[in-house]
Amino acid sequence: MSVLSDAIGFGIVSGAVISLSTMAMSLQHAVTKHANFSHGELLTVAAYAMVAMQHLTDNILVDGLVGLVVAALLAVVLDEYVFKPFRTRTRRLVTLLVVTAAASQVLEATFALIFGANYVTLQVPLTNARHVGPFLWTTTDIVVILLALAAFVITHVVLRYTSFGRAQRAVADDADLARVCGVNTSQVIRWTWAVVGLLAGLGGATLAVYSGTFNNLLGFNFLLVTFAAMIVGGIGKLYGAAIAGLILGVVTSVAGAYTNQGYNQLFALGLLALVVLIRPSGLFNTRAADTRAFG
Amino acid sequence: MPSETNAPAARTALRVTDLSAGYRGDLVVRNVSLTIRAREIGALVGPNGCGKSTLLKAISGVITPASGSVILGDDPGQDLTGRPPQELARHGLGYVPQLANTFPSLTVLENLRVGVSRRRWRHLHERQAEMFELFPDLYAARKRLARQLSGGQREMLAIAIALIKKPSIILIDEPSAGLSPKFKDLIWDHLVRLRASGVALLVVEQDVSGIMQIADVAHLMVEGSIAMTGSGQDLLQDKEMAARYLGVDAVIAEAD
Amino acid sequence: MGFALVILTFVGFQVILSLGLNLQWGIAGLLNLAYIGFMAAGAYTTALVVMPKATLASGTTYVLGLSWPSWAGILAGIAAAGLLALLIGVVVLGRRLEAEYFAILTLVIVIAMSTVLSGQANLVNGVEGLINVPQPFGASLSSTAFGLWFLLLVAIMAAIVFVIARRVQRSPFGRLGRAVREDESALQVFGKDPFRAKLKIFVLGGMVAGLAGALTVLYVGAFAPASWQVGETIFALSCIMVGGSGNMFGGALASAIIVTLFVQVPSLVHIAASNPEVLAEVQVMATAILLIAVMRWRPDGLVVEPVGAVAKLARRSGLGSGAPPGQPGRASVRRIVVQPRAASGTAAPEPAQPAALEVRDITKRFGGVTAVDHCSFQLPERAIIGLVGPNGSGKSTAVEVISGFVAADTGQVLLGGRDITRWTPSRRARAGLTRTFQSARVWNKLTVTENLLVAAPSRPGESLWRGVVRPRATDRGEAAILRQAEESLHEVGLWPVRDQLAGELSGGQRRLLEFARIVMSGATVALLDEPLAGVNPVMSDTIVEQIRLLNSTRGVTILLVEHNLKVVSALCPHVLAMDAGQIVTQGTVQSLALSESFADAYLGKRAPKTAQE
Repeated sequence: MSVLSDAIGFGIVSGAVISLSTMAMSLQHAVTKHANFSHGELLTVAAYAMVAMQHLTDNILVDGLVGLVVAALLAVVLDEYVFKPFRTRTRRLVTLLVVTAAASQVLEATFALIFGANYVTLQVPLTNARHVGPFLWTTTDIVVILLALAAFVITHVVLRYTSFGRAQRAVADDADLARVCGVNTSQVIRWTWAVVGLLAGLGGATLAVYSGTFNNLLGFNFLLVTFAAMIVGGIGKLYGAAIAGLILGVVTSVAGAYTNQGYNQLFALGLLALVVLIRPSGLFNTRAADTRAFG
Repeated sequence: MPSETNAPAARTALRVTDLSAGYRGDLVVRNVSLTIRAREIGALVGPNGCGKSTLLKAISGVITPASGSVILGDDPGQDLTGRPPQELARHGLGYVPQLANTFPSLTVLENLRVGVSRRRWRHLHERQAEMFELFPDLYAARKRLARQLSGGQREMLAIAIALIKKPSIILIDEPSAGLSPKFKDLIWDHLVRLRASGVALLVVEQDVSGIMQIADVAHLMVEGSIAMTGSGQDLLQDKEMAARYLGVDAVIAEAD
Repeated sequence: MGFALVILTFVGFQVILSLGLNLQWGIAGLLNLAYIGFMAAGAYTTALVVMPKATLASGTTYVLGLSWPSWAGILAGIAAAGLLALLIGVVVLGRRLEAEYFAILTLVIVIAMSTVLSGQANLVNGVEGLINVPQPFGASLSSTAFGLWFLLLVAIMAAIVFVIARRVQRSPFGRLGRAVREDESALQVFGKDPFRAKLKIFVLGGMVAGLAGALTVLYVGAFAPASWQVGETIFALSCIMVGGSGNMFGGALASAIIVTLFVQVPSLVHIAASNPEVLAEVQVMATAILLIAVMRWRPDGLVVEPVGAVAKLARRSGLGSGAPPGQPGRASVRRIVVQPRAASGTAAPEPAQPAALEVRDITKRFGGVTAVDHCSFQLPERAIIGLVGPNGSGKSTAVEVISGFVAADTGQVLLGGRDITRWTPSRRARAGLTRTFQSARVWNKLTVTENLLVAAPSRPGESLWRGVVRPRATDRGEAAILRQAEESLHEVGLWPVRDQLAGELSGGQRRLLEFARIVMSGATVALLDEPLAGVNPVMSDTIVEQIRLLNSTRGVTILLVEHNLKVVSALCPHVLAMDAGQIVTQGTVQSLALSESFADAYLGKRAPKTAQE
């Protein structure tokens, strides 16, 4: 019993981290309509920024904050100078996918050049574990969960109650109509990327804290669970992303506990394959599937 | 309905001169000129494929015209040809497309507020009340998502979205398409009230008789160009108009 | 000397690798981010079967100990990669997923492969990978001799793969693949199955990658996960894009140049050599930036393919002399004056045999809207029937249902008496039913002639195997089809533009191409969905004439959906009027025009028959 509850407990924490990454990706996809294969690098850059900041201050929260800001900056710059020129010029989706994949390579190489190809270490303060209900959590665990929850709530509030959030949802629904209504769609997209960067950066920061040591592939390796969660949760749905992230965290953790930790990526893949084959629009999409013809 | 348009009383709402536009190098709209005066309903009818929708898109900036000019208001210096839609919206042009004219995942209230900055909203807050006075059905449904509305309600919402920004002219693409007769009559009613409140309208319609009865000026568009112009009532009675519209002039002449 | 050998050998590996991806991406448009995984499958398999049993001395415990000879190892590697591709292809390609899902899934698969294999200490020694893989050609060779022999092996393999890839690209099968890339739905309408074509190319590409992997591991003697990351796929993609995607010669050339310039030469530079890690990263960055730059400014690649394949084919078959068969050469657009059709006796004949096409009680609802409402009608053999009605009357939905792209809620569709209601669009096409779309769907990156060749029904010549193994015979088989295409081109007046890319044609010309394709496909029933939409009035007459010829000369039964009543009256002795999802009246155009109810419905003077809300 304790194995299971430990696994679930850990799964909730890892689910929180996955949720952050997935919420970011879901927001971004809703507005740009294409997947971003360099998404992982937004997480990685936050992690590296934290490591760099550690030379200046021991306060891990400050380090994390800087990481968030750096990730947000990278996101905005990437879109403005690399992705946008393609989005406005081509109608072929695959072109953009290739560009994001290439951008991922460039960023990974840049990180390796600056920080070296070896693993770097983040100094993480040790905290005590304590029982919270059936789960065994350290203070760090609890902070991470709370941060993810806060991020979800704040993002939800912004999307639902601010004029920017409304404009963002309008652009996600129908960018052309939004323009006709007078919305400055370019600006909305830019700011969306900033929020995406913040969320992904928080994901990267928490991921770094858990990994302790990592290399330039930190975020990239996280792409599998992120894509899986986004597709399971339904592209473009914030709460779907959050819940799916949690599900994936718990499922992979529990599965890994009973088989072999090395296989939990496989379970994520399995879940993703299942959803793609049975219900590609995601588990949380209430709208009926498209009228599919035969063949 | 107590409301004024944004601009001081202009005499001309919209002047289109020699506008041409198309896709992939094929011109669908050919040298179209028309004028809509302030507080006027202009009707644009014609067989499908004649370029009516494309004309509206070219005027509103959704597509870039190949040549010609679009001027809002009296001042010929206000040449807004080919400017992006946001700019035209800011200068007082509203555009209601035929399909995809609401934001499905936003509520009615949110739909109305899209594109309106916080600052502007303070002035426009009363407008929202006016919208609901004009479209009481929308008030009842104000918290529902746009995709949950019926076809008729969605059309009302689409018009309200354009109207709430106090435009001087609204281009509407087939407002009565797919609606029941009851709702069609409601639409004509509303268009008349819009005119009374000071907004000019350029309405593309398939329901020719419906729009002609309320139009001050009507244009028949055939194969990309304006073939006939006159008052709505006149054109409606005109046998030749009917024939041109259906394109069977030869046959009808024979039968006569 | 030694350096040159190494460089050339690695060039060889990359050429092979790039060619495989050029098949998948360049021809079929599949963005397979897991491509490098197939190379890995080949490498691992080859290594595992070739390695000898573990001994206490070697200290390894993870080998199978099969000790197969190298050539068997290579074959095993190719087979393993092919099998993996088949597995993944059947699962992922078969679901008609969008390109984006495909890319995501392949990325996710390769990450999973990498993670799992990195953790698999037992079989493949996890992160450290396999080492001490025995070299071919015997262990007693000097390194120079080994280098030479291996280079020879690689060169031969690369040449073989190049020839195969080239043949695939130029074969009818390759044309089919390129059409798949452009527009799959348009292919279904001609009875072709995009899935099988994609699967075959996918597996072939995978096998080529497997070969590259097998050769690499035998040369280097070691293989670890670090050798096969997504970056390698991006690298191959760079080579392909620089060379022009689909251009086998260009891809090979670009691979050679990029590998030499980016990889090998920098390695020799003294400074770089002492900083191998930095070098590796810079190489990755440089090639990725190159890829982005090429896609942005030279998306067609930097290498120009020498001659168009079809033009060469035509010349070789002695065709393409320019003279239309049996007619004085007149390639200009013909202007025909259209006479309104007099009411002939064939207005609405009683069918003595089953109707060519029959629609029975079809209903289709989308959400709350009933688009088609218990609609029934018949098309007699060889008739041209018009279908008219205002916007939103359900005409287009009816066409979608009849052609099989949308499933009806109730009712039946019968083709020549057979119930095809549950058939896929391509099965309907094979039975003789085809359609056009509201905007002309031609394959933009194929030439006009190639569009026609792809539209011709499936034939043995279109098989991948024949295209590769017996290209000359395949070409000869194509000669008959080519002649047919020529005839068609002359008929519709597209002969002058036969070698132009379809994407460059005007709207009217694309329509004409659609008709020519219908002729090529041998269809007996055609649904024409607003063929005059967006067409210059000058072209209209030509198109009308072509439709008439399609019916009168070729005997094709036509359902013409059109708004332009002048055209409908010129072509159709019988017209169905649709409103609110039902056929409300039918007859000759004159009778309809005289009927007040019809005019009223169009002009909106009377309420439509069913109240909709």
